[in-house]
Amino acid sequence: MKYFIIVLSLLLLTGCARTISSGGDVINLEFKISTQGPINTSNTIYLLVFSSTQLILSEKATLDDYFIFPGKYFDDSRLATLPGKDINYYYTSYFKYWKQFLYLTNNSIELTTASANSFDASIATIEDHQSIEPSQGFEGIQSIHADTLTITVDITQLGYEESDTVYFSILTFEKDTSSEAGIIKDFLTNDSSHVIDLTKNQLNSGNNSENTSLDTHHDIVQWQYRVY
Amino acid sequence: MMSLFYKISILLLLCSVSCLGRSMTLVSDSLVFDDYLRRVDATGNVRLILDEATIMGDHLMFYVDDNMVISSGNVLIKRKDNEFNSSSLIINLDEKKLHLNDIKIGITPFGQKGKIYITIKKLIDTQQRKKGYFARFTTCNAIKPHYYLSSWRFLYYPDKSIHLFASHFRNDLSFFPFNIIPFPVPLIEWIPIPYYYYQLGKRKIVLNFPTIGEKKNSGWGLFVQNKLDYRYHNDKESSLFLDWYQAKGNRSGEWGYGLHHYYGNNSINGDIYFYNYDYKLGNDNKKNLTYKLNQELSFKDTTLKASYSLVDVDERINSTGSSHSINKSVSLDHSPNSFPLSTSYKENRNISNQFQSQNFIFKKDSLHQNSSFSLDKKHYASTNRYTTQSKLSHSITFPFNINIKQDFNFKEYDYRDTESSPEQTLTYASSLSTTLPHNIAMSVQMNYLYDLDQDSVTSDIKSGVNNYLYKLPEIKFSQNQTFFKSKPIYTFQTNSIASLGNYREVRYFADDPDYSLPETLNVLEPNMYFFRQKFSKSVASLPASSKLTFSSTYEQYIFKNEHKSLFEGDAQYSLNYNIALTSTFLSFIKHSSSYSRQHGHKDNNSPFYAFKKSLSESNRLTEKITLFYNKKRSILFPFTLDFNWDHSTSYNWLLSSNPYSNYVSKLTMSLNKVYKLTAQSSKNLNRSWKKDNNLFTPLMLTLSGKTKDKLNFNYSLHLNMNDLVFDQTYIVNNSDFNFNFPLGKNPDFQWKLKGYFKYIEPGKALQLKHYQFQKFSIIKDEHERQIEIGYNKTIKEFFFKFHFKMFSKDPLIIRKTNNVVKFEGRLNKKSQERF
Repeated sequence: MKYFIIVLSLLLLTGCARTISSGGDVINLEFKISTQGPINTSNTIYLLVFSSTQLILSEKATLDDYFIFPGKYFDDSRLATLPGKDINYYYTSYFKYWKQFLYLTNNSIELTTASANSFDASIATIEDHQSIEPSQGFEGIQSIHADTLTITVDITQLGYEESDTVYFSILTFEKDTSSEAGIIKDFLTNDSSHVIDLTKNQLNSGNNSENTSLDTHHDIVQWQYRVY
Repeated sequence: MMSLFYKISILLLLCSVSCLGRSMTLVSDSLVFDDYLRRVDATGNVRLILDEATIMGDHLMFYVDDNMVISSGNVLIKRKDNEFNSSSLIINLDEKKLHLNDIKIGITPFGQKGKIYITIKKLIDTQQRKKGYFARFTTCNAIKPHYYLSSWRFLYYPDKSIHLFASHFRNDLSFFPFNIIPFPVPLIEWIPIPYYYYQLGKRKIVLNFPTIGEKKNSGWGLFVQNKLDYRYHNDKESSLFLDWYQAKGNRSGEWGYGLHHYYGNNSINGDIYFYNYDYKLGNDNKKNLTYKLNQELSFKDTTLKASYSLVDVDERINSTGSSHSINKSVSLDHSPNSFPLSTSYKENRNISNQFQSQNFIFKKDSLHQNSSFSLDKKHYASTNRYTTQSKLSHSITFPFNINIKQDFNFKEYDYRDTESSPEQTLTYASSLSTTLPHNIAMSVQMNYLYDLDQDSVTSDIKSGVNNYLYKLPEIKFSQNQTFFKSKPIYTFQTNSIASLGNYREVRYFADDPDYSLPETLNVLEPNMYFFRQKFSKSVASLPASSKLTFSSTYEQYIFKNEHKSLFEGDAQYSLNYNIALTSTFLSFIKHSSSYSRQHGHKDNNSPFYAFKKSLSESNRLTEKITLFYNKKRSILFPFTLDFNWDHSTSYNWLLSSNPYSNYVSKLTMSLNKVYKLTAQSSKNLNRSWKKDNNLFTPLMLTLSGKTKDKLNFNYSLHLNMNDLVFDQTYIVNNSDFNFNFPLGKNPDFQWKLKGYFKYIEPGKALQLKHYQFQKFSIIKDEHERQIEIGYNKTIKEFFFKFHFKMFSKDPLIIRKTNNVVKFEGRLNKKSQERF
């Protein structure tokens, strides 16, 4: 009985919605990534890539490839063992299509954005590679519930405005123990349906095929985004 | 094979029976002395004990004048945990010589799981040496061994050396073409070893089989890497390296040298590794120097470890490119099982990559308290950029389940090329939580940010580093309750949350860079009141196995604006209700329908940015129909079959255009819960029937299998559904095939195939020829041996590996990459870069 009295008294405080102070509307993008097993950020990198083009991943992307990320430290001795792969290989094959990416590992989330519409394909030196910096004041929110990773971000943080259209892809990597690079494990292949219309109330979801050869926390099985 | 030699040498130490006994004891059922023959006959349960060795038999004869001991039949010889039989025994006590015949022995070497089986036709054991005739050594337990090392003669000098004469190694293979060739194939199935010498004893100097290879880069050529073991202690080999690298063209300098030394005991131990190879390329001096030091000290429950490594390499053997790095680490761990303390420091300095990182961690757990501190510092030298993150955490539990947790987070962005001062922030978060009567959870949270650089860094405001919601403090009460538990029909659950707080928000806005709300810190008066009430109810036992669930949530945010009363300020209200019904018809149709509605008033507003995103609207109906069939295992049809075909879509009334979500169709079939087939695609219901509208998402097909006997395969094919529907063409977006399965019933002779194939022509019509293997390996078990042949396309490496399972860490490997062909010895170190 006490419970109902307390609830009732709080409900009685109900009035009308009011707008007194000023302030612009906020549009958020919420992304949910589901994997076959529980999310594991301690030895996995989850990458959410945004692009203005559907071509996000090169057809060269292959399971178990060593993968570096713009501005991130990598093991040069490991890269040297890979025939035909150097810093420029990644920029010409992948990053020249990327506008920005969210890098999630060890319970932290970082945003790295290209200074132009995409990362510079001519980058070939460690100096130019390191000149790319993650955004300092990025305020993305991530939460993990069992096998689902949820990321929420204000679209203005990503540099987008309402009604913009953006393509995306999701990748998972086994984290390199000695650097910020990783071994590619699973990814969404390029598809015209991997696009977000950044207007309110948009909601979309999709599946990715299961792969029993992967560790379950690497195996992306579903994604969903919501704009609100 | 080298490993086998090595182990055999050690084992002979164990199995030899010295006749130099300082003491001799004879026990038997009867002892008869024949004065005429000057002979003592010991019969019945005879046991002759010579120091650590015991010889047992039915009848031993002692010739007193000749000082000879002879057995009349089989004897069993025991030494420590090992024993073996001999068909005869002759001991010459004057010459201190022992004769044994037809010895068969099986010994388990220290640290190994299997046995080494030794047969020796004749063994003569003297004080100085042991001479063997027609000896055979193998780890194969078959009556007719599949592989063995056979020696015509061997000489064994205790603690000095072993010599094999006219030996050969037989390694019979059971698969094609070896099984049809009537003789053993030389060098694969039959390897002659005319003479072999191995030094034993305290100064065990062993010259291992060299790694021979070729590096095909300009200026390089053949190389030979030699390893000389000079010490074996605590299961570790200390070694010297002396290597030759052929120099061609304008490259000069051919010799590399190094040392790997292990030292210490169980309490204090470590190793030091050094390798240097200098050469000249034209007039340029090139350096390949590696130096590593590891040290470990243990005392009771405490372990201290330290390591240092320097790698300064201009060009490696396995790859191109230089590397220059220095890594240091030290760690201290105490009592991992009770109230542990652990601390570690790591410093990595990659000079060639112009990157440096430092990491320090301290952690201490007590019965009611936990403390930790971490520091992570990175330096990107090429852009002169430093980032530092540090965290100090402490939690403590008081009586009455009162928990207090405090976190300090420090962040520093020091961009020296672009900023005159480092950007520094310190955030503090504390929470006090407990459970009040009536199972009410209460928490008090305080969050604060200090801009340590004050105004010296002006860009920090703009970059958003100082954006923060201060909680000064926030008090929250929550309760979960279930009503009418005893009457299921009336049972429902509630969740209530009430919170109030004094918040302050700092944000950067282009038109108001110094925005903060409230502008000045006020007293403890709350400026936001939040209440959320959730109600949920489920009803089962409805017709058609239906289940109805209903939930509703009410939320209200009331804000105290400056110069306004509580009932005049901004306010946000939201009411949400969800209803879902699932039903099953005719045992093969499942229907699920759910409706979600969330109202948010158009005048909803929050003065705080952080709460503006708290409410969202929805008005959505989702429908799903599943056709299913589940067949259980029966006597007539001994298999299970699960079939599911989902069809789903939804309608969103909030969207004026494109209100339908994709119609998703997903088919899943599972046989015996081992083999699984899935097919799925979706169609855009908002667009007209036209190929250009990209109506369909790719058709994703997967076929997988996973069994207990290690069969594991996964085939994935993504087809462009639009091309398939409109043009009837099978255009592949992406496809790959992973497999790993055994062939053959006998696990001792199984084949195992592992591979990864990828479709290399995406965007083109499906053709089998476009599948190209990226990784492929065949593993063949050959009774206690294993052969693996593989190829890795990514690093363009072919390899051949052979090992005895008993010595799995000592494989024989031939490895070929684009630039290097290597024949590697048994030691792992040889398969790695020296520098």
